[in-house]
Amino acid sequence: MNERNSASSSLARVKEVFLAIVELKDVARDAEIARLCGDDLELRDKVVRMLGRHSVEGGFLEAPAAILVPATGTTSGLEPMPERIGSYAIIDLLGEGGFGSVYRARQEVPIRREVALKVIRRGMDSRSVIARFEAERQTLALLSHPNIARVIDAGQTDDGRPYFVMELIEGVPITRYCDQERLPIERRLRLFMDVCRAVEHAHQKGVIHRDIKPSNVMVQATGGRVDAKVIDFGIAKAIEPMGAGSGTEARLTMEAQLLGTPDYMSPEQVDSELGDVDTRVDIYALGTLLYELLAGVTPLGIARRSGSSLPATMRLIREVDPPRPSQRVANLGDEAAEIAALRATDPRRHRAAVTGDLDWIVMRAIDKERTRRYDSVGSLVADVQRHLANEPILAARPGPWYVTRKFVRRHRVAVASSVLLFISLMVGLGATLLALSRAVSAEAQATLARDDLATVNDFLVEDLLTMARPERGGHKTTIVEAMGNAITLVDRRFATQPILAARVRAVMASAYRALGLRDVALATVEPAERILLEQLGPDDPLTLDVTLIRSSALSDLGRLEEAESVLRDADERARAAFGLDHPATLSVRSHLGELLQKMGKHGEADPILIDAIERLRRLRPDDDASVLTPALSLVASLGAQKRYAEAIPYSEVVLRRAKARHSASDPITLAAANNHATMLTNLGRFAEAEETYRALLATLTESMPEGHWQIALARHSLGVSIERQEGRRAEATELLRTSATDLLAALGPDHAFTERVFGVLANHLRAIQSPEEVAALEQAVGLRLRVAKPDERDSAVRAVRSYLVRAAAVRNESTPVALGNLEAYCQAIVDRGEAPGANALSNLGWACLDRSDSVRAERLLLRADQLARTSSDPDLELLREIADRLATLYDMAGNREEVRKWGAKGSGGR
Amino acid sequence: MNASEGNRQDPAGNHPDNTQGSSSAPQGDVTRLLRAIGAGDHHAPDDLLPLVYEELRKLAAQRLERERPGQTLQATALVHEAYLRLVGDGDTSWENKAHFFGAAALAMRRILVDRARRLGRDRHGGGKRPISLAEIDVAGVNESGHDSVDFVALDEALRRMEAEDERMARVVMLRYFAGFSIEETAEALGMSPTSVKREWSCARAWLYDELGGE
Repeated sequence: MNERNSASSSLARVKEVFLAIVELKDVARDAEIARLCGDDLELRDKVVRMLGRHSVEGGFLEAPAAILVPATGTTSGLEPMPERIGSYAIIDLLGEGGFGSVYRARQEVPIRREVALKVIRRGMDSRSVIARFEAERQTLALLSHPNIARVIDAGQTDDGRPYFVMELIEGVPITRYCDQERLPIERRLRLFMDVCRAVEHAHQKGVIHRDIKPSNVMVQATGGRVDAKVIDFGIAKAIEPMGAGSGTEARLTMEAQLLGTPDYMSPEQVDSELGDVDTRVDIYALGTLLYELLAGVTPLGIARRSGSSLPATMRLIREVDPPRPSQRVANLGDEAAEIAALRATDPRRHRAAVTGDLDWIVMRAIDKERTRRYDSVGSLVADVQRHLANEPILAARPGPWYVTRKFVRRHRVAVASSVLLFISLMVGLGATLLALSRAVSAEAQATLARDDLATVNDFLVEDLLTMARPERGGHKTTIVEAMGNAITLVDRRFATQPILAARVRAVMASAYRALGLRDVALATVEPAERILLEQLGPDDPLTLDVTLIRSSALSDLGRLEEAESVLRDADERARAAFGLDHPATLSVRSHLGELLQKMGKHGEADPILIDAIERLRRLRPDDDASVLTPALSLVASLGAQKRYAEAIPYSEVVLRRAKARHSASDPITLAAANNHATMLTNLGRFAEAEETYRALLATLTESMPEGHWQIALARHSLGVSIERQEGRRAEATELLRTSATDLLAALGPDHAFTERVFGVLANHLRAIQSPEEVAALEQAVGLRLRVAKPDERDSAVRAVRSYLVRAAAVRNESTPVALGNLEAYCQAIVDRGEAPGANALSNLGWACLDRSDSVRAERLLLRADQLARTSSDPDLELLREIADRLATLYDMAGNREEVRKWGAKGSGGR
Repeated sequence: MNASEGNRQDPAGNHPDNTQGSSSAPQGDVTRLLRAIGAGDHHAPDDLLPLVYEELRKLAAQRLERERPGQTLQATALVHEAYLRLVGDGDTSWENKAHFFGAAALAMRRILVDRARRLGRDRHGGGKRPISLAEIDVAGVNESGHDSVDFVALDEALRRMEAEDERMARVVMLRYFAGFSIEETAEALGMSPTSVKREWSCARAWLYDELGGE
């Protein structure tokens, strides 16, 4: 503080000078300050300090005043403190809450000691509260447990408010203690068990707490001992007069409680029609406490939803099913790292630790339907104990793929990655196979009884996993071998069960697709579809499912029109057979929407996708794969239309749901992450995009072999997101360089991605003024020249032009030399016997014509014509295009005869 | 804390209908007081402040209990909630609004300063209870990276400002304690937005320096 300063320089003077110069620029400003302040150095210093402050963006007083909620939730300092209450001398305020204030007080008789004194706020009938407490007193006296703080006395203040006197606990609420000490999950569980045992003890003596919540479960650390203490036993009942009865007082009490900590109230506490309060309200509250200790937030998060009305809060408590703790943890967003750190872990491990046993324990304790909760606190503790001892818990339901997952996890290192990839795909798809059975018609179900599933299960687990076992030399098995074996195995094993064989084939076809073996995928699924058409007919959901796999295989192969007609046909059949609101129909329509979007028919695709998403959401949970897949297509479609801002809410939600429901390496999650990051990049939100790409890349490198095109592409995108960030351009070089080479190796020179990444690399190298720029550009231009589509002619020409300019600038080469390089480059394509050689020459020739190098243009085009004609499979369209180009060239040269000759061969001559 | 006798006799039937039974009395009082201020009653402003103060204090205590530790409670939100509770959305006259928020900003300032003083005293004087680091920040920090504000020091500086330049101080009150935008502040004080901006920028810089900021 600077009082002397302000005393000597009056605010009026300071303000005058400040406002006179604040808009001025540096030099003018200095001069003006000197002029206005003269020799008043104090004034000058003050103004200069103020200007220094002023130039800093944001900050001081910018945000309106705010009160930080104290970590204790106690000392809001808003209530005056009395000196005495009854026979107790008040020492200081310990806390304030919805019910009133808690003071530290001194008791004089019968013994001198410090106690806690809780004064209930106005609005209660003190006499009946105290009478009820007296009635309970005998019972409360029976409570004797190291983790229970005893209530000693009750009375009435001078202004008529009831108060309770209890054992003084110098501690903090359990949730805060755990966070403060950064206790890992296991230690939290042990502390929680102490709390449970205290509550169990009370239950055995016939006392229900009714208001268990963090502020009533204190942790006291004294002399190396850490004790959890449950406080306020008996108080809730005393101030909650008619049990679950009616009456204004009861209602007001409940409302007060709802205003306080509604998260911990069980449905039967807010709705007396659900039955009387019994020990299970404490089980519910304990489950909620465990949830918060694990996840860092309460199940319903009511306290965090600001402005919920009372009826809305009650409805929430009665009706809304909270997510499992692990799902909640997965959705923590920005807070995830912080909350995990408070548990001495990272978000991934945090989620893993909560997933499974603890999920089920918590969910069982907080079931809305109290008959489904644990029947006693004892059985809740026992399950937590079992979990800690790695024994199977009662509440858990292990899934059918438990064994397989365990196997894959155990052998992760030993099993060769390529085979592992195949196996895990098959195992993952095995789950799809199970899922399929749910949608299957009655006839199909009859043929796919439990035994059949077991057979399939054996096949996947034993046959395939055995193949991968390192001790049997499995690590030498290549993917192709493994798959070849698998096909033979299917035919042998399911020889007498055609439908089952078809299903397994369908699953394998999907695995082939995922591995990029497109021809094999189509060849595998076609017989399966034929079998099912024969056995089940065209309108069976299973047949439709397999038809969908065939359409996807066709689409993979670029046979889009065929795929479209397959899907339109299936759509018609499904709608006739099942109507629009059937999962089978909607699955077909999702595929159709996806295909149409891929074909660029966005106008048709979007409404189909939106409609399918809406209808599916009514049938399936929001995070179901069947809902997420069309949502992903919609994101892709909006993205393709450059409607990024519209796409981003979808991409965000899809990613979040995919992460919550599926593993990080699930194709859906991967695609969702990639889509979302792409939208972020296009919207210029590069830092967020970077974060998403990094996570994506980490997952990909873990689950795919190095050099996979998806890894290369993710690396490239990551590079782009970094490059666009202020001052970080140089960090991107290595990422962009390796990803370009990897992508070229993985996808080959004719893939659109390859050319694009080299273009980006060239631009980047130019920006960092690297001499390598021209080489990258040459590569990019070479790739561009190969494109066969006539409508991209202009872009090929532009590419050549910009290459020539850059080459001249960087290498100091004249245009002919640079063109010579490109000609050599094209010739190399031709020499390697690659198909697009003729096209490349033709495009380069066309570009040269544009540069008025007609001699070179003629040479290149004639050479292209010759090559295209002598090809084993002549491309007539390409030949016509070359003829057109030659006709144009001769026309410019005034050679009528050649114009006629080539014009006849060109598109005009048809 | 009660309205003056003369104001009390205003017919209650003219008050905007109010569905929140429990707060009908203060709402009536406040509306009445605002009208009295409009009619030039010089005592009315003094009567308004305690009503608003009490309402804000109650709201703050309630909200503090409901929020999670470490969250911030926006003074603005409280002030606006108090407005809805005490005046309702029936009365939208700018003049009344300006009076109300002027009083509310003052009440908010007092609450924050009292609280900061009290917490400070707890910390230094009656310090039997160990104070954790988390509590030291309570005075007015908020976690979202804003500068911490020492409300006691700010209050003292504001007093000095009020003594020399009342208009500038009122801009600070409305902007900072009632969360008014530049435009709203301009309207409430009958100034142009440009001059509000100038006053505000100077006030912030001056206060920052007075509070010993670097």
